Amino acid sequence: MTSAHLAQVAVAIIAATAPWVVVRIAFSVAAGHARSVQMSLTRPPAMRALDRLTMVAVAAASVTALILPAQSIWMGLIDLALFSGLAVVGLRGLGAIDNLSRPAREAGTSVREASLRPRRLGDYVPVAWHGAVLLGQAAAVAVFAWRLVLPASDRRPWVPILFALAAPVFTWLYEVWMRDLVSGGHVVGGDVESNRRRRIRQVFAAEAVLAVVCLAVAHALLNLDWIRNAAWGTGLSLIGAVVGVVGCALAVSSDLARRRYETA
Amino acid sequence: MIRIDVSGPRPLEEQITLALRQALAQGGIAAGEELPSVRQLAGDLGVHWNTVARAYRRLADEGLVVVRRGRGAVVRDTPRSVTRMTKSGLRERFAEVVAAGLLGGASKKDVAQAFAEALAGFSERTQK
Repeated sequence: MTSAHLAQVAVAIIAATAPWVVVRIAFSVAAGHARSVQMSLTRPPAMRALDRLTMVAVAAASVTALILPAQSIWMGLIDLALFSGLAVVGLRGLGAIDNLSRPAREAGTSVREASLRPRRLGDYVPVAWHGAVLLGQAAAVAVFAWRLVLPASDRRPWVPILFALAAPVFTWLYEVWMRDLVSGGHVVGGDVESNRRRRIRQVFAAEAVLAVVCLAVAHALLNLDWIRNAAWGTGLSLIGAVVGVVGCALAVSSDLARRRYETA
Repeated sequence: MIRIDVSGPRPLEEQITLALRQALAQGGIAAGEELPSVRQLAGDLGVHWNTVARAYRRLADEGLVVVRRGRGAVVRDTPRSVTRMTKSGLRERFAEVVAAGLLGGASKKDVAQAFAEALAGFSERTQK
């Protein structure tokens, strides 16, 4: 079996399991939060359906990837179809998790208090750290763009371009998430401000890691000699893909670990 | 801090406006200070953002704050209600509260004590 065939199998497995990974992470986040407020969360039936379908899809995709020639366009289409179909089931699972976790996320207290001190992102993440990550990312993207326009033979640019574009997309998603944590209500007992600070800094750390990984993979793959270093290139791409799936899963779960007043 | 009761008889917008007015009068928010963003206050209280926005606009119409589009609300340097309260107006307002208290079973002494305690919460500078 060639490394190209192995890569085809690996991509098929990632495509088939990505929705399942996202839903499992979302459920873990929601269940962890429910436990922190002394509530329990049972797995919804939609998740069990996704478990079964994913097992079947992984088996079918792996066998098909082995049978078809390496780098087959048909395998790409099959991966896309499996991912899309399982994503639809996964969305239902996410909806069910959202409904079941609502009692743990919304307090229906009638008397409510709020501080009159404005909160800003700079109160929780030092401006220097924030600036360093954003500027570093901008510089890395600029250097990538410069390297892209330089002539090179036998370049395979699309995967590196995808990773280079993923970095600012993740940054945007996570910046929105952080700002939502800053301005959104947070009612859980205990020290609300230190909980908020800890959560915002965790999200900021995840944003930094995602940006570094995506841009590092993009730069590493850009002028890679795929004939001599196919295994290295494939391995890097797969690591980048797995990190990206986890990053998406965390962003999707962003609202599942908060407790605030039910909107009146 | 401000406090509201979503199951209380007063509309939420009125409760928020009243609580902010009291915070201003008690010196809880200094002149020139920024109020929390509409989104922050609405999220913290669990109310629709439009409810907070309307409360801020009411305070702006009363001359207590300045609402700057996209930049939030700021307490005026010299906050003064555009509706100046005359002595007879004050007397009328107190009479309503006293009547409600007495009809609710409170004694005159209780009403006087409650009034003194409420007044004690307001800082001197707002009496000029």
